[in-house]
Order: sequence, then C-alpha cells, then structure tokens
Amino acid sequence: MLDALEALAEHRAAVVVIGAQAVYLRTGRAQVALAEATKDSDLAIDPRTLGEDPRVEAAMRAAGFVPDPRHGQPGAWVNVDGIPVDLMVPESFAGAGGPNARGARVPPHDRRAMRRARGLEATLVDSTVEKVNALDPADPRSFEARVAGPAALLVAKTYKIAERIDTPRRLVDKDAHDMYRILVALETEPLAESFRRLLADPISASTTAHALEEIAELAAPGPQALVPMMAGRAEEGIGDPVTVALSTSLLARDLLTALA
Amino acid sequence: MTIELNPPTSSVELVRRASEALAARLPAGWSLRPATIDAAVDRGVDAAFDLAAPDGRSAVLIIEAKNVAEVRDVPGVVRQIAAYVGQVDNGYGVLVARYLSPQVRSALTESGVSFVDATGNIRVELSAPGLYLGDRGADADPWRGRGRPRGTLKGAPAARIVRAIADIPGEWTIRELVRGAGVSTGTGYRVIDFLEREDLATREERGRIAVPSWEKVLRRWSEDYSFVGDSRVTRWIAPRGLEALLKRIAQTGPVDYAITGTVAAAEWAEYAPARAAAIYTADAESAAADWGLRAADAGANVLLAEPEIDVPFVRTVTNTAGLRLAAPSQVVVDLMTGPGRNPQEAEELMEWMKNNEDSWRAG
Repeated sequence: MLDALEALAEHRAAVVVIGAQAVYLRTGRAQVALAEATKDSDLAIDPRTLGEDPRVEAAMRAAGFVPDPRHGQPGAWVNVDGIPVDLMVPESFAGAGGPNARGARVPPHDRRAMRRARGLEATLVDSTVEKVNALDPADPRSFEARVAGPAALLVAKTYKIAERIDTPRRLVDKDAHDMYRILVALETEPLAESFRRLLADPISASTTAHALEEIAELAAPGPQALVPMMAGRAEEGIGDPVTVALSTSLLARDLLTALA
Repeated sequence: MTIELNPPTSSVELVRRASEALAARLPAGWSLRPATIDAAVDRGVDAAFDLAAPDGRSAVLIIEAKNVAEVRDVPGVVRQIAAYVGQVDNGYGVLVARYLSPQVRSALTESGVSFVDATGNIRVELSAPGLYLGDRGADADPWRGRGRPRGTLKGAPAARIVRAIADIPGEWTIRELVRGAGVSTGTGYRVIDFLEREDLATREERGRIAVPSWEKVLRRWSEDYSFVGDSRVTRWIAPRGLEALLKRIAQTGPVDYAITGTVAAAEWAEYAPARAAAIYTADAESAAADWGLRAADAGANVLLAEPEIDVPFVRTVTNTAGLRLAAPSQVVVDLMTGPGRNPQEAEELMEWMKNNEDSWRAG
C-alpha cells in the first residue's frame, strides 16, 4: 500500500485510502477477534484534483506495478511482490461510459488505469489526512495521506455487499465484519453526524441515501439479516458469531434511528 | 417401624419412643422396664432400663439422649456413656437420638455403643444376657430443616458470616462476628455451630472462634451458594463489546454494582479473555439503561444478577480503572459455580488468593 502511495505521490491530494486498511486506521482500537491480515490496498481517486502529470499508468509502472493479469479489469494493479492495488473512481466522476463500461474515463489518463466503482462518492467528501504506516512493523516508511472517514467507509462497504448479493460466491464475510468494526468503534451520534454531512453534500447525498436504504434492509432487521450474519460468520471458531451478529444489527438500527 | 410425622420434641419423648421401639422388637420372654439406679448416676444420664432375659439374667441400659449427633460428637458420647456404664452392674450404653446418619451409626458400632434413633435405626448388642437387635430406619434426616440446627450455609446470615470469616483474618468472638457480619445473634450461633460440626471452625479458649482454613469455608459455601441460584439473572448484550462497556461503567454515576466472574478475576489472576461480563446490581433494568445494554438471549455478553442477598456488595474493591469489583472471596465462589471454564478460573484465582493473602485479606 505504501508502495502505491509512493507511486502516486505527485497526485497525493487526489488519492483517498479506502478499504480494509482505512477500516483498520479508523477502528484500530476496537476490540474484535479478527486479526488484520489484508495486504490489499484500495485507493479512491478524485478526478477533480487529479493532475495530468504524471499519467497514472506511467506512475504505477514506474513504481513497479503492472496491470494484474489475474483479473484483467481496469484499475487492478500488482507489483513484483504480488501486492495488489486497486485504483477506483467514484462512478459519478468516472466520465461517460456505457452500462458495461468498467474503466474510468479520466483523460488524459489511460482508460484502463482506473476502474469506475459505485458507492465511493462519500469517500471524496468524508476524509481526513492521516499518517499511514506500513502494516509490516519492519517497514519504517510512513506517509501522510487522505483516509476515508468511517461513515464513507460504511457507505462503500454497504455498496460492495449489496452489489454482490446476486452473486453470493463474491460475497466476502470480511466486508460485513468491517462494517461491524466501524459500528462498534464509533459512538452512534458522531457517526450519525458524519452521515448528516454526507447527506447534505450534493456529491455524496444520493449515494449515501441509497446506502442507508440498503443498511435498513440488509443490516438493521436483526441478527439473521445478511450483513450481521456474514459479520458473525467471519468470527466463526475464533470469536462469538452470535454476539457479533446481534451487535451489528442493533448498532445499524441505532444509526438509522439517530438519522430518522 | 413407620416414621412419625413429627420429630420428638424433647429428650423425654425421645427416650419414650426409643424404649417403645426396643420393647416391640424384643424376642418373646424378654422384658424392658425402668431401672432403679444410684442417684448420682441417675442425675447424669437421660434414662436407665432393666433389660431382662427369660432365664432371669438382666443388664442395665444406660441411655444418653441427643437430638442430633454428628460424627465428631461420637468420641464425647462414648466417653460420657462409659463413665456411667462403669458405675452400674452389667451396664451397657445406648445412644438415643432423633436421627443418626450412616456415618455416625458406623462410628458408634466401632466404639461398641448401641443406638436407637427415632426413624428406626437400631443396633443393640449385649454379651450377657446375649442379645442382638438390629433394624434399619431412614438414611436421611426426615425432620431436617424444620428445627435447629440448620444443616447448610444457605441464606443471608451464613453468606455474611462466611464472607466476613474469609475477608478478615484473625480469631473472632461470637459477638464480634455477629456484629461484623451484621447478623442476629441467634442465627450467628447457628451458623457457627454448623461450621463447627463441619470441622471448619473451632471454639478456642474464652469463646474465641478460630477458622483454620478460609479456603475450606469458601469451598463449603459454594455448595450452598451460587451466582445463578441466589440471584435473579438477566441476559443482555453490550453491542460495542466488553471493553467499551467497562469504560462506560467506570464513567457512569452511582449505580450499585459489583463486577464478578472472569472480568473481576482478571484483576488478580488473568486466565483467559472474558467473553461475557457477570455483574451484580441491585436494579438490572436501570443499570442496563445507564450502561446502554439491550436485552438479549442468544448472543448475550453480559449477565446482570440482582442478588437475593446483599453480600456481593460487601467489601468491594475499586480498581485503578475506577471499576467496582466484588471481593475476591465472592468472585472465587461465583466462578466455582459458574459455567464453562469458570471453575478452572476459580482455581487460578484461589491459587492467587493463597499466595497473596496479605493483599486481599483486610488486616
């Protein structure tokens, strides 16, 4: 991940750390059974502040990244150590494209350098600059980088799960567990306040409103709902799946109640 | 022999019932009638009977009556009876009691003392004239609990005394103990009597009570007291987990509570991360509201216990995080009687308590 931040150092202002690493940064203190093991790095790119030079694809290649041959989809990069990095542009900023377009059209950058993704608009609104360290304690590097806030991460995770409902094999329990972590780590009121800001900002309003509808359907109904069930399952054998599932649904409901 | 509905209420009635039971079982031609004996002996014993064989030979039965006799009473009874038996011609000692347990009966048999209890347990053996009478009555006291003494450490007075004995070192007078534990004198005596009978306490000179092992007292208490059995327990979930809950409890106002179980034990002897918190509180509903708990069945990670006895709130410990913990003596017994790995955790804590007596027993 630090390699990717280093690669895109010139575009630092346009890069937002999202995904598991951001969740970890936002919730590190939350006491949960599941260990951090992810090497994946997801980065959201804000085309509004993305400069023309260097070109994203050139910067990535110069830092040793190549398009990930396993996926063949735009925005998926991997370096020689096998560390994957995903560069994603929120759909409403990803330019024109048919319903099947996958690459983000952000000229003059290559249309395969970044992938368009739904539900990331909030990460452009809700982020703060944080010090990002390497997960490997032996790696002394650290960077100042924009990191998505908890509310934006919750929106992004909700989209990710909701999009994959119809292809259950692509559902990853860890994503639901990340939602649980966020809900546990933040008191309801500050989290609700962040959501209010996202709802008030034209960039993120509709994305956020839709995410809340999905949360109402997929997380809040009870411990048997999809998200709580997946979050609990992620702790099977190491934690307390039933407690995690119940907590997830209760805290999701608390959030919706605070926003009602 | 049918067991009468009511226990004998006096030693006179006890002796009457016993003599009737004996007479009913004598072989044909034998007789049993009150004996005329030396006045000095008469004053010291509860009764004496002449038991006569058909050939005219007879023996004197020296009767010692006791409500209940425990194993530890047997040597004293044997000595007492022997002292009087020796003063009459051809005397035999018989212990008469409301009820004698199997252990007491075998101890008496070994000592050569005959016995009759009011449930029908009989063993009378004479060498001259030769006679053996045996019968089997109850193996459990049918009248236990209806009168004194109480045979358990159940209830508030026992709990208070046990906790006082465990928490505070040194010898006690009954008065001090009764005052220190906050119980009435009568019930205090009853509990001390029980501890004595169980060999858990001894009476020393000038009425002082010594408790050689607080550990044994606590272990005995755990047979009669439990976290679940002596409280109204409700199940809850702290949705942000136990660490967040404990932080919140420390910041919340004056709710009456005492944390016990794994969470409290970790203060002294950490065993394994707690998966659930067990907390005594006087009012579970209001504590739950203050601490943001929700009622839960499956998935609960908090047990709130409203104790029937207020002893868990006695001599609590406030740790550096500002949390009120039940005293180690309370926590260890709660763990002994708890689910899952709690009993092992109790042993860990007990070890710590034995090795760190100075730090938890208030001198």
